[in-house]
Amino acid sequence: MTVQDLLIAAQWTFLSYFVLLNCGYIMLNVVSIFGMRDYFRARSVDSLPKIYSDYELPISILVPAYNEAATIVASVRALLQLRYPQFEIIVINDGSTDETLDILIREFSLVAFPEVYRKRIETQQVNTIYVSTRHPNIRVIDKRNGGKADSLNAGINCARFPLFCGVDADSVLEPDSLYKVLQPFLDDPTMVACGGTVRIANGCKVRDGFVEKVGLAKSTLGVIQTIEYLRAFLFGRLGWSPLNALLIISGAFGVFRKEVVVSVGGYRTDTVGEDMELVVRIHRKMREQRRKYRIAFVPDPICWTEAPESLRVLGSQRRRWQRGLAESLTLNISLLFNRRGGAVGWLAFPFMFVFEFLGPLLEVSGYLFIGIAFWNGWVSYEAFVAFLLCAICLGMVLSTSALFLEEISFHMYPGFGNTLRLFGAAIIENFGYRQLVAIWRLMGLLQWLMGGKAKWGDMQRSAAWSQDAKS
Amino acid sequence: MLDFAGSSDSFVVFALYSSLFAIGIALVLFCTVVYLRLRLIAHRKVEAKFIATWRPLLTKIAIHGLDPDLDRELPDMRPQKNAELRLLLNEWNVLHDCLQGVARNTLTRAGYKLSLDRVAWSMLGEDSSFGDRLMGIITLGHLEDFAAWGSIEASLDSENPLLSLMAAKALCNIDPDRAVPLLLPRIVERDDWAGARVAGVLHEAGASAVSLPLRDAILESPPEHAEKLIAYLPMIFKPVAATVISRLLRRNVDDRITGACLQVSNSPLELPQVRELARHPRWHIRMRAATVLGRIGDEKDSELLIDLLSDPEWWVRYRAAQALSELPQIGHDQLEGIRDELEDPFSRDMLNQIMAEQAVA
Repeated sequence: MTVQDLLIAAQWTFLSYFVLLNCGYIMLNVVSIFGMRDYFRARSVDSLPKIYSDYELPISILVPAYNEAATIVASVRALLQLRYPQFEIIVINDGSTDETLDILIREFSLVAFPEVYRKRIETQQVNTIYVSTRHPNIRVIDKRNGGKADSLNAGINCARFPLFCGVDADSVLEPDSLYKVLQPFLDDPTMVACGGTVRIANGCKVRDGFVEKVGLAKSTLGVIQTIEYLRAFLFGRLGWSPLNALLIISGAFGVFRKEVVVSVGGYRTDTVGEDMELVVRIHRKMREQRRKYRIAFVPDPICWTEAPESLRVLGSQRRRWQRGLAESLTLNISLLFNRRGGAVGWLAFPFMFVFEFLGPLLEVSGYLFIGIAFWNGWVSYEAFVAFLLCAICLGMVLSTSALFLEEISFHMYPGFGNTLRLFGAAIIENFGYRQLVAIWRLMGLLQWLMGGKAKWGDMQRSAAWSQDAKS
Repeated sequence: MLDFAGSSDSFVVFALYSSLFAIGIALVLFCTVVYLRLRLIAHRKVEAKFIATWRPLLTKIAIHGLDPDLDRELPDMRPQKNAELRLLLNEWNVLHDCLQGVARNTLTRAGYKLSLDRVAWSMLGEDSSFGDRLMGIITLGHLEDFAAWGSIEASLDSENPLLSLMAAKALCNIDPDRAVPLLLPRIVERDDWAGARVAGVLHEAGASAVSLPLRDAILESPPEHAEKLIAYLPMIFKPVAATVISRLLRRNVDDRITGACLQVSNSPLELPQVRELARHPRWHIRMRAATVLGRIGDEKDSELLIDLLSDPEWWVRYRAAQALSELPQIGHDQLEGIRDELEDPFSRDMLNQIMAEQAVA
């Protein structure tokens, strides 16, 4: 084989990768359209009044908090207003060095409580458990610092109800989010976990802990991330859900059956992607044990979160996500092409492995290769332009198809102006942003290869969208 | 240099055609999004105008009844366009579900005046969309249209759980005594009928229609079926439910049945069996028995519950401590006395927790 043959092969490899990646996502898109239709069918009587009964499953809401003094009170107050018949809120103060605990004690009239801590999952030492004298369904666990996963495990140990929901302290939930995300558990007794759509809160008006008016971020970076989230949730996850092959449930909002999580050992504390790792592990263990189970996704926008609007923080977030993905897949590699793996082992896992885990490596080397080859005169100008054009245009299709899915389903962003801005973002993100994200993800992959200690994310939040934060 | 200069090169051609195809799809998608947005805006305008007129009118009818003028004018006020008729059906059904008694009957009468029955019937056709069929079934149920029984009953065995459950609800609206015996075997058979929705349907039928058929079905079913039905015992008349639970607990044929019965047990008649079950080898049963003792037990049960405070299972200890605190004649001082006499530190800790919970409450 000559060098020329190798170069041709490499060109075709990279082009095929881009085409296959996009074809895969388009397939997921098609599945999502049917999934969305079924979902809306199932929810078509939701306008009728809901009769809450004792047959709804009670749920424990776990809120891990580390140095969240600025936002924790507003978050808990918002959680108290959720529309659901029976739930408890457990805030886990993970050794915060700021006033998180003092503020909670003051605002919710907490008193130390001699609770018999049931250590079903190993955690850092719990110092004190507090209970609110004003709201009997609020408890606060004060523990030694051990990270988010460790906090969630402590919360699971204390949870009284059969289901738990992990919520980020800065997440903004829809008032009926619990009702929506718990519906799959009511419909299917084999349901073990369920996630919902997370949207970007930047640009929205938030009052009393709830989104009052939906809007788009002012910055282009924010709008581009809105498109990314639409893509990730509306067909990235909804596409896998009907196949029972969903590998990610966002840590910002996800509901799990407590006993199942305890039986698989709880959250791993040595990963940065503890939310994804848990879901992949549940798949693996359930399939190994031949247990009937379902992991589902609710496309309703039920949780809003702040997206970073600076490149530095965004880069750090994406590196962390990629590292989390790498850990989740490699720690559960036995699921890949497992005899009992089903759709998750034979479709979703290999797809994630090739296009998400190895994807950044292939993408960055593809761009580099074609650039170097053009610079050295190994490929013609036409071939160089054609390659870039193809990669960019296929990306545009994916982004606009996410917009389309949003329009046929929830059409959350009002006005033509917003539609045009989203379309603009769907185009321009392909000119530099995607490539930058690929580089960050590659760096995340390298960080994972080199190892390092897991810690709380260093996302800096401005909460500029929140009316509460201003007052 | 590779020979890619000519546009005939397969790589370039493939990439270019793929790009053109992608651009075409992106443009089509964008145009569709714009069209859908325009349609949505138009629909929302119509909807807002419609609701502004009809919501207050339907509410007025429900509260004040149909005055002679309105009674005469109502048939002519009926919207003609399909989109508006659907909006009317939705508004009428939502309000209907919120009402009871006279107001509900008045709204039903208004529904007939507006010929909603004819609209609903037309929605039951084979060629109707899923949403229309659902709306038609719900409406005919609310209208208590006996003539629709056969058509709705046919949907009871639909593979779609929502359609079949809404059919069940409609049948209960039309004739609960006739509907409940049809539903009970299906509640057992269908794993896709969510418990909360089934409870809603049985609530619609009412305790008088559900009590005896449910009692018979539970007592005559094998354990695996009875377990599912026992969950609905709280919806029927208490004496009937107590008879069923008492008989099943005495029989003690299956742990699942026993556990399910204990979850709904609430009658002092069951006390002897519950006391026995507090020493059951399975911790789930012991835990539930302890809970029931808290509800129906008396001071004689304190010793039994104190024993359970040393149970190896956390939940049994917790429920036993809760139950102990709920027993009549056991106040804070008595609990303190019991705690001070306990030798087992686990029992003491649990009792401390419960006393603290009481203090906070």
